[in-house]
Amino acid sequence: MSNHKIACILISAIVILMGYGVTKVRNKAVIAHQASDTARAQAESTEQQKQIAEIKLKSIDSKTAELRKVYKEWLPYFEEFGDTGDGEQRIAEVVRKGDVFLLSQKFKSERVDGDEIVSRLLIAELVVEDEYTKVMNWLGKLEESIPSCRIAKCSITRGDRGNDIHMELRLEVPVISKPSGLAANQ
Amino acid sequence: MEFIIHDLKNNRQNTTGGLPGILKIVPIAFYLGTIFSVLLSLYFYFSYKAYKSSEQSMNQRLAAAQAEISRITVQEAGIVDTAERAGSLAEWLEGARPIQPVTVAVARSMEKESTIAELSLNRNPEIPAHTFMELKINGGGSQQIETTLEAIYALNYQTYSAQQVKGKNAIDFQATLIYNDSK
Repeated sequence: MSNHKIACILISAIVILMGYGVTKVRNKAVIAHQASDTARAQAESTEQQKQIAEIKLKSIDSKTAELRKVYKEWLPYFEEFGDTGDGEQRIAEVVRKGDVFLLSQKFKSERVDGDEIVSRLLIAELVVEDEYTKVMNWLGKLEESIPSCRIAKCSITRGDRGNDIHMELRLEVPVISKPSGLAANQ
Repeated sequence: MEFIIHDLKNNRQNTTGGLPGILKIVPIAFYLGTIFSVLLSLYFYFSYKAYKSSEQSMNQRLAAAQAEISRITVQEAGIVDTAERAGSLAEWLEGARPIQPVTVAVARSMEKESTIAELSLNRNPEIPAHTFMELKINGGGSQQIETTLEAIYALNYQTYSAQQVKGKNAIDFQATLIYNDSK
């Protein structure tokens, strides 16, 4: 084989190698193009999801705004009683300030299941007997001093003396559970 | 000088034959191929760089959108959690309306000839917003019950399942009181 022919073969081989190289670079560019397109599609889809999530958030926010406003307004009254002892103390204080004749008082605590906010109840059973106006004013003061309390039972009968009334009360004071981190942030 | 070279290098016969005419295209193809390859390689290389840059930019957009979705999800979960607690709190409050105004209204509604023998207000344990009222009145009659009910209605309460039993100079009245928010 002559040198010229060998040179031709070599040059042909180089041409083929260059073609191969170009093809390789082209393939890389094509793959990068596809990856770029995929990334664009994913980004656009995720941005759409974000917009939907924003709309949903706004909707939930506006729908629950009033309820959450009530929650914010009332929560401090519920938070006053971190445990049942606080409730007992407050009730005793109201009884003392009201200056009504207390015949008996009994406190007990009950666990509440399945409630989002009230975890325990302080149940106070009070029996008072005093002058009608005094007892009624005291009852009003009691409900005003402990706005979160619920009078579950109120029984009024005549008292032993002329204008006295005998009142039996079952008072429930909620002791709330601590909010989760999510709710605490709202 | 030519002489010396002439002496050193004699004329020699060609050791190989000339290149066939058709193969003369090979070097031409080589030059053209080289130029074309370089240009194409540059084009594809810059395209590759542009696509990579675009992909990076898209990935940044994707990451930003995902981060925003995560933030929104956390915020939404917080709102839902608060709303659930608020619902529970509102439900408690609904069943914790003050009783004192009702007792006072009932007491004040009594006419001269009537007296309260017993007044009992018990909340329904299942639905605390419903209060069961039992009222025993000495003296008076149906007119007294109507006066008392009017006083209760004035406080935006409605009565359900009302029953009254008339005795001798006494009357027993029972009803479930429900606060009417719409008024």
